[in-house]
Amino acid sequence: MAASLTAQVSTSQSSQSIVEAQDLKAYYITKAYGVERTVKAVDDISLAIQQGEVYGLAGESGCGKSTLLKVLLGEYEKPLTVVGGKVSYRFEDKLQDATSLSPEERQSLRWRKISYIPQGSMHVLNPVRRIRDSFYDFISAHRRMTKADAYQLTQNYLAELGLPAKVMRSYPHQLSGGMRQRVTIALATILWPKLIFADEPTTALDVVVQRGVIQLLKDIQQKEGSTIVLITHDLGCMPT
Amino acid sequence: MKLLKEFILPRILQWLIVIFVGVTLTFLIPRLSPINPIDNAMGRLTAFQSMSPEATLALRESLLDLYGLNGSLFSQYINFWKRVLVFDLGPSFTTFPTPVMRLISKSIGWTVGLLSLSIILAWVIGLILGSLAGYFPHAWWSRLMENMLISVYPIPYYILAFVLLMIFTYYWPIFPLVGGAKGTPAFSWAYISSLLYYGFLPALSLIVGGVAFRFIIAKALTVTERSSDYIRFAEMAGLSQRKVLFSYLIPNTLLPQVTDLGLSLGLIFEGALITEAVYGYPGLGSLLLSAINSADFNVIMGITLLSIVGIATASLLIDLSYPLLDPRVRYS
Amino acid sequence: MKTFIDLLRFSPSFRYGFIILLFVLILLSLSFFSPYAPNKRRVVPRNEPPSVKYVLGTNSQGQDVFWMLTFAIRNSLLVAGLAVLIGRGIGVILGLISGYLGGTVDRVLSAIVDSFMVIPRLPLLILIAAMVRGQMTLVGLGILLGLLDWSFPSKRYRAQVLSLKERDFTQTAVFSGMRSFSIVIQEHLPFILPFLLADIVSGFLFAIGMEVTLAILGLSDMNAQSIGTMIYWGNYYQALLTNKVWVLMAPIAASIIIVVGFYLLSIGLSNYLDPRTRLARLEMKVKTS
Repeated sequence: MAASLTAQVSTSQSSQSIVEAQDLKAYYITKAYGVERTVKAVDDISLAIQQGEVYGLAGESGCGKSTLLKVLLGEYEKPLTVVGGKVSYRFEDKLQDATSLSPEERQSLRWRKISYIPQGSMHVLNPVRRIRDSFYDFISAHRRMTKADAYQLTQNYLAELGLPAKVMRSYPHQLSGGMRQRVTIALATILWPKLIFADEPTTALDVVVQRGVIQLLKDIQQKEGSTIVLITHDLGCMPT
Repeated sequence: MKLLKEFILPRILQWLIVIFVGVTLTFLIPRLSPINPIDNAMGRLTAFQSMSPEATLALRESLLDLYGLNGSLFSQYINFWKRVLVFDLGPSFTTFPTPVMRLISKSIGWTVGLLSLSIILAWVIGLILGSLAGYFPHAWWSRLMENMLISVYPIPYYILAFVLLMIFTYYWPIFPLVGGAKGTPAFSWAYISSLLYYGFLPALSLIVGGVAFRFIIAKALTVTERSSDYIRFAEMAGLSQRKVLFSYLIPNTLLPQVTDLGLSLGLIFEGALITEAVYGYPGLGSLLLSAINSADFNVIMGITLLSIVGIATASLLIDLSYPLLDPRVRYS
Repeated sequence: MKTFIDLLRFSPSFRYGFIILLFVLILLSLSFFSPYAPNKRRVVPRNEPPSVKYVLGTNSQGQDVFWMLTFAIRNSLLVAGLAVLIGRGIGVILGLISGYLGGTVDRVLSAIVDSFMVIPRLPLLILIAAMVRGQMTLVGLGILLGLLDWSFPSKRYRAQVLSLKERDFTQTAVFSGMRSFSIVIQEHLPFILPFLLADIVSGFLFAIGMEVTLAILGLSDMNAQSIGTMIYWGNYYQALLTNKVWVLMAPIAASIIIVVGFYLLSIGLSNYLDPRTRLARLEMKVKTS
């Protein structure tokens, strides 16, 4: 299955890697009524993603790219099990074994160093919370900050990304699909993470909006010098 | 404007229909009954005391008049509506000529107090426990709670109330049996504490059943909702479990629960009637029980009418509060 | 039948519920072999506590509580069964009409059903029962309960039909030229039947609870034995004050056992109806075969 995965390196600014995988094997092991079944979703993958690059992972649906992303991100639970190999992160020139991180350490990396942009869908944002309050929730989970400061930070960041200020007070259902996805991207990158995983961020958007979303990701990558790992089944979206 | 047209107006229309159907049913039932309520009432009234023939005749006339049984069915119906609209429910038979409305207004405060307190407590406790159990479905306390509440849930209100009464007033008599409070109503600690003391068991009976009902629904909703995209995104972003539970999960599962509360209000009210009758709590339930025992039809009819109007109105108010909780309805 | 065995095998709650109700059924059928007529008094010594001879004791009227209970269970289930039959009958018909016809018919029916759902039923029931007091029969009570318990089921059947109409296989059947009637019978009925089964159980819960409630208020057929009337007469002869608690315990325990049994059955059924567990079962069958 992993054979159909193609990896494409677009920009290479530095030779130092930020995330590495060695001989990674991750299987879905299900046990129902005494019958064990194994699906080898990621089988023997090795890769090294360089700092500051946009790393694309393309492949058909079901080829294991989302599973690989989950394992790289360290966000997986049973029945998905890592059977072999390891993942390491390099932050501040220190290479860490990601598989041996404690939940607390993992938690401290999340959003500040490593972030995640989910697939564009109706329901990624809490439907009964104003956008600015979602931002406050996400910021305050990692930084001690007053509500007013968090609002200010959000407002500045949205302006920087060219998003209208009025989304602050909106609820998710009041935004268009493209705008919702842009807000989600802003929400994922508000703490300037070094490493951003994006799981098909343009799915379910129309072509014009897709371009805008990709452009936004590129802007963020260039401004912050962060690394983006982009998953897509659509080669047209691959950054060139 | 759209909110008014698509949400508020249809709901108010439905409220009007309910009132109309309820009043019409209350009007028709005694008239369709194979038994003449007047003869029945007369039999009851004269069974305890002997009456002169003139008095009996006068009583019959006044009863016919009171029941609005004079004239054609249609004019009776119009008269019935006229009386209902000015809250004139006629006199009680057993405590003649006290108006039914006065009897009801004396006991309704007890019922509303008991009912609103136990509904709110049961709803909040059931919702929070159910959401917790749904969010941590594998914890031992979650399973224990579920098994306990599932065994309580199907037990009829009466049985539950009666078992509690047996335990806490006969075998381990720490709570009083009959009454609502001791002393004269005053804003004093002594009165309020006796109010709580007397109300504790009736409220407990209602709350236990209510919590079980709400718990089961809340847990099912939470189990479905916790796999939704926004919850997983928030969890991945490292939001604390408390934050996810109280700011993300519960505000969303709350919405169907509000609608459901409006729908189940009638059932809870029925439970309160029974519970009051069991404990001799001085509310509508006890009034109804004594009215049944003395065949005081006017009181029974009055309580029926009032409960239909009351429940319909309360559930209208609950439904109208829905837009306050759901921005998707509020700004659509 | 196959479904039934599956349920017994894989759903513990269904299994326990089934065992409990089987036990209730045995008690019920024992009533046909009772040595005493249900209303006959002074056939045994009065106020005997439970013993080997009188398993559940005797009451102050000289009746054997155990044999009374078998009659009571039979009558209570008869009332509930009748109520369920009528209530579900009306509910299914209205729900199906509303769901399949749609349009104005659906809007009018839905408005009626929604209004009935909000109306508290107990006061109406009490009003009716008080009017025919003394002449109430168990059959009458069953019919009455049935006439008041159709709005919730009807709403659920309507929703069920609406979701079935949206499913792919309905569209396929329509495009392949199948007649609407055969679609309903062949494609939809298999989905509605198990749903009906779970709904019947909840109807039993309502009817049993209401029978007890009305009897406590003295509004049922007070000369017949039922779970409710047993409690009523127990209270009437002051079983608690005179320390003859077994007279009350028997019907109370019976009512709890019956409702819990029915409820466990319904949990098992609704788990079975859940598409996710259905899928898991299907996968399992593939593997084991």
